Amino acid sequence: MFKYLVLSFVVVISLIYEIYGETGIVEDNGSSKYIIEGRIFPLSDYQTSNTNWQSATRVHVNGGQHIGFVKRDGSFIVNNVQSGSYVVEVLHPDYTFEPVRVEINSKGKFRARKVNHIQTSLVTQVPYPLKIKALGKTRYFQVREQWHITDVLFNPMIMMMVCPLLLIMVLPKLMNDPETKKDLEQIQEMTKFEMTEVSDMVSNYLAGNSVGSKEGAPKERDSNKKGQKFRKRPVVKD
Amino acid sequence: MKQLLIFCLLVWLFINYGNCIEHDSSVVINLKHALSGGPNPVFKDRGTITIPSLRLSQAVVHQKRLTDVERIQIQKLANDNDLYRINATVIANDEIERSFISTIKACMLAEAELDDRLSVSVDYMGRVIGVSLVIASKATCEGSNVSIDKLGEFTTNVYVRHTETGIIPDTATYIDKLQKEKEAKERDDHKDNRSFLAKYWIYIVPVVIVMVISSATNPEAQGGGQ
Amino acid sequence: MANFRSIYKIQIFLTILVHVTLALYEDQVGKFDWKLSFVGKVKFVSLEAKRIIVATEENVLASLNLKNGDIHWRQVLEDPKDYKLELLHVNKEIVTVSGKENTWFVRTWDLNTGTILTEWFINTERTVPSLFTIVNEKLLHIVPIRGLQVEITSYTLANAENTNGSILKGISRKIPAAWLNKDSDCVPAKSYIVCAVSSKLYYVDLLKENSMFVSQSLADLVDNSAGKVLLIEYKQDVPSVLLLKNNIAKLGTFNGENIQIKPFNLMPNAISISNNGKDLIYQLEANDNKNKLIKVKAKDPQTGLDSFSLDLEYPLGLGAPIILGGQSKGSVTDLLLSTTDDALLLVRLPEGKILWTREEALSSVVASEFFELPISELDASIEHEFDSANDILEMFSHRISTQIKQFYNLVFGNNLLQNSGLVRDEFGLHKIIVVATRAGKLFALDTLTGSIVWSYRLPNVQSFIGIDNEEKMLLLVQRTAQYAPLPAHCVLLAQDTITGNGILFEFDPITGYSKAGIQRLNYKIVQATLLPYQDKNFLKPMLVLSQDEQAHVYPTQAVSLIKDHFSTMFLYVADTENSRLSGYTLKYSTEDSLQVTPSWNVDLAPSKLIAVSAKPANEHVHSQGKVLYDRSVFYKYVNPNLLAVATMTSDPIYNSVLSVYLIDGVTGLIIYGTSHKKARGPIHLVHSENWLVYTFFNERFRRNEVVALELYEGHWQNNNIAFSSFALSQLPQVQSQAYILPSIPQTMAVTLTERGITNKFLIIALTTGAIIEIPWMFLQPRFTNMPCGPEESCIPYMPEIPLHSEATINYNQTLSGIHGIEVAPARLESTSHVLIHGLDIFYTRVAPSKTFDVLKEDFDHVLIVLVLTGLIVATLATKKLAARKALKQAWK
Repeated sequence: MFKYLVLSFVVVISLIYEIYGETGIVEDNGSSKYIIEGRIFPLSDYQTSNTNWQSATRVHVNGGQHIGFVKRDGSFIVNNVQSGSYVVEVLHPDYTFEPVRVEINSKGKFRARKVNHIQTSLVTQVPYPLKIKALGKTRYFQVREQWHITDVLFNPMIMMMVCPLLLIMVLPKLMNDPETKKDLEQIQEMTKFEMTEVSDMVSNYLAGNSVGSKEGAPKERDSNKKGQKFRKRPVVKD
Repeated sequence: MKQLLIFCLLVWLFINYGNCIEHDSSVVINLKHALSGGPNPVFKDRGTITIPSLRLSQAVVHQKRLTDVERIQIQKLANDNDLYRINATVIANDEIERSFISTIKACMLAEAELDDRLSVSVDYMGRVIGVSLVIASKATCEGSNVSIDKLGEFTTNVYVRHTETGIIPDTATYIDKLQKEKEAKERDDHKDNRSFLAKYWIYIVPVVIVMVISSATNPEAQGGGQ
Repeated sequence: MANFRSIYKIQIFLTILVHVTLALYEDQVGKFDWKLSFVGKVKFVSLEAKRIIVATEENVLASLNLKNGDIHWRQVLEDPKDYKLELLHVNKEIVTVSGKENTWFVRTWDLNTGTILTEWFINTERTVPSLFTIVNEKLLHIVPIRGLQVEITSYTLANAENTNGSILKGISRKIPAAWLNKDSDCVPAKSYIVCAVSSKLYYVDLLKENSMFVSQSLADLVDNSAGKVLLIEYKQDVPSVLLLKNNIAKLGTFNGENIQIKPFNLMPNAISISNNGKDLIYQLEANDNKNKLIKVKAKDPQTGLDSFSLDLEYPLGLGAPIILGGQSKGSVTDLLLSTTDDALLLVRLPEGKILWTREEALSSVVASEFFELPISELDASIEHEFDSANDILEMFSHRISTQIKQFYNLVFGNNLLQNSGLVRDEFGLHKIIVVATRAGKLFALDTLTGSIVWSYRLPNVQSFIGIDNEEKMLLLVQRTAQYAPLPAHCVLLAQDTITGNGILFEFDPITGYSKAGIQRLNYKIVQATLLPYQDKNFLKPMLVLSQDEQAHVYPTQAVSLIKDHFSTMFLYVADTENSRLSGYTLKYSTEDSLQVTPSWNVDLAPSKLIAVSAKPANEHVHSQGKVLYDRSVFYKYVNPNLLAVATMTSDPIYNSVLSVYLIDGVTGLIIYGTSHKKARGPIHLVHSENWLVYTFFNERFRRNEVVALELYEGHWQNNNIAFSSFALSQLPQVQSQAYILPSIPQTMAVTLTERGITNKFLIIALTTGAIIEIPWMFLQPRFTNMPCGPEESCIPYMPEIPLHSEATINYNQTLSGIHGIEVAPARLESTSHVLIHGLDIFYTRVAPSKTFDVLKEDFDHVLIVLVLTGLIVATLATKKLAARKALKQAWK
């Protein structure tokens, strides 16, 4: 019996909570008016220290439902605010400020947190009275693509054209030098030597494996013959 | 007692998660039609439609067969490419009467052989906001000539159309994606802490082999050559 | 896991890609956009040496330059619908009081920069209209309570108590005044309060302690004739008031408990200006001289004799002026006049020259329309070649002569311009914007410069009150300027201020000339539409529905043109009071009598209708369907008769519920309906092609949400020849998706292009004063079981719409009090004209897919020429070298 009473009680309570939704603050239409106050810290660059940025700055609460203006020392107040949840934005044509959510509950307690529309119940608290810093100068424009000489030089088509051209022009000159000729020939022989060595080795290895240890001696012969290879005589297999 | 409570629970669940209408009600629609064309139509009774539950969308239609006079009138309307109008008086649970008029081309009705559909639109509260007559067809007509025996009786299908619940932004999958992204990043960070060698061994080993082979054969060649 | 990573990367990549294509370049600033700033109709004025401080009806405080009328600084206070400025007082600093009923904001501002110095708040329980005045550095709040007393609260602004707190504290005092009733009219006169009730005049000096009202019979002071006596404030060193009866005013000065009436008569708009301690009364009088309509007179306050009189050359297009304020310095007097059509002008005496005029009527635009300009004479003459299509010789000679003229123009410049520059340019980007303002004045603005081409004042004209108390007038284009030599023809429909009947005004939008003038109709207009049929003069007739369900066609001869089409004409009317939509058909109309017959109705009571939107009439839908990932076509459901209706219902459980319905305007069938619980306004609807986008405020999560609905027919197309609302074989499928908008939208519109090929952008004006553009691809509902990536030209779904500052089309020119956005297609397929109006007017051109049909601005002509010449030179040089080498070889 008691269990069923508890169950029905739970049902009723959940019904009530569903009606009020998931916000933590129960809104009331109280007639008490509160004041939102804060201070704005602009960027300390040349422009802000010279012009009257205060007269061009506005504080919008809930998109203009309440408006605040900025005094010379950067502080602002917004009057006539009832209890509830508000988004406070500071607007200036040249600077971007981050918006803050200010919640005033029916007892007059203030809580300021970051604005998060996706996870609305996430609370990242921010000090109150508000201290709003400029995030930076607002970038409205896109920088035009400049034409740099590197765009042309590092274009693969250009490189494909220019490098062989250089090689064609430079190499004959190099070739005509006698010393470089000798060096080149040496290098060429060595590399060719190695190359055939590797390919020979691989083919021998494959052939050798299928024949078995019988080829052990011919292998040694081959290696001796390899030693004579540089005389440019093709190796003839017996 | 137990059953009562379970029933209450079920009802509560149904109300909140069941369908879109807030308050279900039954509705009686008195249908009248105007078989005389012209700018000042005279509406005569056509039938009654009772919808016992708007939520369950089932309707009971009572319509009389058409008399010969009425059939000739409909044929004339269709021939003259005139308009066929209905006047639906909706009486809801709270005894409020609302009347709606709806017009279609008479030739379309005739060509469909009196197979019409009635669309009863209901708002989120369960109030009837509109009653429309629709003929399902792919094209309109400009006057038609249909023989009288096809214009026997109305075969009316009633469709109760509800207002759908509004869609909300899908933040849940986005938050999940972000979480997974964060986890994946953490795991990747750990992976990258392994040694350089362990990461790039697939590239280093063949190069080493090639170098070994070349140096193995090279000293022989060099030694042999010079 | 890897999939999500790549999705996220592609997402970021795509958003960067997409937003890169949206931004402006810095050197494009000012090239094709302009901004006009306004302050609104001026209510209070104070002239200070070189500056004029104005407080306006739009709740704006601004400082204007005396010499040229430009705005030096401007502060926009709260929404003028709720809060109004009641007091402006300038001494060393500016004090303003603004508010309504029982909440008042008292603010002090710095004179030079407009920075706020202090702000206080007054909250009273009384909700009767009250007065404010400043006497001896004290702010007095005067609240007359009927049948009882006058409560006066005096606040000392410089008090120590008040500098630290925010709620203003003052000393209250009550003076019994049981004679106060609703006819009593009270004004302040320096330190006195003067009230006129029935036949008695009551006044009291507030500086005296415990003073009571002194009454005097009005018959003793003013003559005995019939007529009510009105009191007008008269600012002078000595407390005085103007008693106005039968349009004649008499000046009364107070001295202790006596009032002395001066014997001479004054005009009701007389003010006092002091020049080095000597006061003079200035007033304006009507003049008989047709060229100089207004006479300025200065009278001596003691004797009433004219000390100065001058006829002003008052411009004909402005309304009747009143003097708001003035100042005198030496021999020069400046008078600031405000006219009935909201213009502000400065008159300098003794020359009687009007130094500058500000057309403040443009601060409340209610309707606008873009017009193409006619082609130039020369271009028109080229087209006349085919007039004589049979005679070859004549055509040839005509062509030669036009070409000689063109050559002459090219070499010697354009002497043949007759239209003073108002000719169409190559891309049709030079247009005229005709705007209708709330004050009943029509203006034509040039899209290239923003200057006023012509203006026309319509007296006693006001706008219609539409859905949701929106003010609008209708501008219908009956003929464009394409059919030279026939002039363009446009019609303005509005309401008469006095009777509420309709007003028809036909005019030529290019020149502003109207042959018929204002036609006042004898019925109230309920609905009007343009018909798609043209007569032999290319004029489209207009159909107007009156309140008693009668239809009228203008021009009346056009009935014979449309008599065969009556059965295909339908009208719909939205009745906001009863929340009903009704449809009418004109089938039973004949040439002699036009009749509308009711054909359908939709009853939405007890919800309140807040928006009804139809598709723009000049819209083209280019593609019939969407190509899916498996290369099949999903056909769109494009119904040109579709109406989008939004209603708000107040619900005991859910606070307020928003319902959006799609209703066919011809059959009345509700095709789709959706409802959002716990949703609040303001609601904005944009309806175009086969989709609908609407925004609302979600109370549960306290954020603004955007929902996009798209209608499709399916894989088979119903009828690809002609669309008919009656032929419905299956209901369209609706795809919907919702997003979060991180800022609060003020109004929305969608770009329109001539052929509909370009991508569509949604232009949203935010309350921050920025206008952003969001591509429709972002909001397009994604198909649930289909992949979404760059191959399908689909951007993956993101619940929050990112608002980049680079997508702001008005860069750092933030706009205040934005009211509406108008979009018009340009002749170039890639561009749309956008006009944003409100307190400021801003015009720009938007190219959603970048200007793909025009060479880009930074096209490197120089580079190409250089490269070409370089290559040519290189070829020639190498040819020579090769020849030389071959020669050398041959000689070896």
